[in-house]
Amino acid sequence: MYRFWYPLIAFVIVSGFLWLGLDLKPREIPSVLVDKPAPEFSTKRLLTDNQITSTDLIGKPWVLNVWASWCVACRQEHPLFNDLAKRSEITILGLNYKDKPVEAAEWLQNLGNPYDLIAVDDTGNIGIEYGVYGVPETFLIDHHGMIRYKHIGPVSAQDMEQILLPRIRSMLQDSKT
Amino acid sequence: MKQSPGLRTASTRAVYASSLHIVASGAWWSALAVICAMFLAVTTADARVEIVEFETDSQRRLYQDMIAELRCLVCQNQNLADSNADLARDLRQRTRDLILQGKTRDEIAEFMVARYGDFVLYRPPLKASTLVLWFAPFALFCFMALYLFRRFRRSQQSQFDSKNVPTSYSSDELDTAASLLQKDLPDARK
Repeated sequence: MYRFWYPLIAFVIVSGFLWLGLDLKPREIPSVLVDKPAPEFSTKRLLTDNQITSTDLIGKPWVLNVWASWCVACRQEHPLFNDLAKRSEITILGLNYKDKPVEAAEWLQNLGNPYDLIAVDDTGNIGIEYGVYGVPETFLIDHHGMIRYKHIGPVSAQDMEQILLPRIRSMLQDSKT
Repeated sequence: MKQSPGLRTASTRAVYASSLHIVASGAWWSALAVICAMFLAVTTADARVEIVEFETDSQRRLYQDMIAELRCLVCQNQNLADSNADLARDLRQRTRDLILQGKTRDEIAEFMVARYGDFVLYRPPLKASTLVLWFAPFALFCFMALYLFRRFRRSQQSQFDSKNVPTSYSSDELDTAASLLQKDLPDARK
């Protein structure tokens, strides 16, 4: 009379899959660029005529934060980056993605500027090289110029403490030894 | 309960009164104007046609194929051709540029996969990590077919099992059978 157990077993299996499904994040596409060299770019710095070239940063680790003044979620994570700038010596490069320079500058004036450098990506071409498909996105790049981690969407306080900061510390440590 | 119709009229009157109030105020008209403007904006946005020019017909066909094959990463269930998303437009533009540079279908797919992963392709490539994706449906189908086939054969066997069929009948049984037949037959003949 095992046959009466079959529906229950089927139910448990289906529930198991659905339970696992709850934790999946289909919006977060795993990046293929992790552990690959960071794509090189050379572009204008925000509100200046100076150029910024990504290869100049080789030798020290850096954080690439893709943001825009029109991006609502960027507002949410911004205080955490202000905080990061105060707490860590890591270089933070902001990639101002498809934004109006004046509005971007205003935004930083109002909310604080955590960035050591701000690169302008007005066409979104640098974004394509980095596989950016939504703003904000954050990349951790080590002193060899390799992408070590990619965070999709706004960084939460928990993400910063538990994921980004430990990685940033170890990248800084690695670069000094 | 008897009072409810009266109550309803009263509340309906209240609604009329309040809507009249809205009509009377200028806020209603500006709200209407905003709504109309929104519809207008949507229509013009949809009516915008992207003109993409190519040197040859095969380039144009390749473009059409590629934007149908590549997934829009923002909307996820649309391809680049169908999507109005900003990124989709950028990627269409990039696809066009790559075609004009003389890149082949594989090279363009490679370009996209290098940046966005296999997810950008609507047809995932066949490799170790996608084996389940490709073959699980066939495996499931074969499994079900085998199960149904065996079940069918078993039920057929039990129905015509020679052990269950009696070889001789008692006279009582034959009488019952005959009377049953007699009962039914006249009806059947008519």
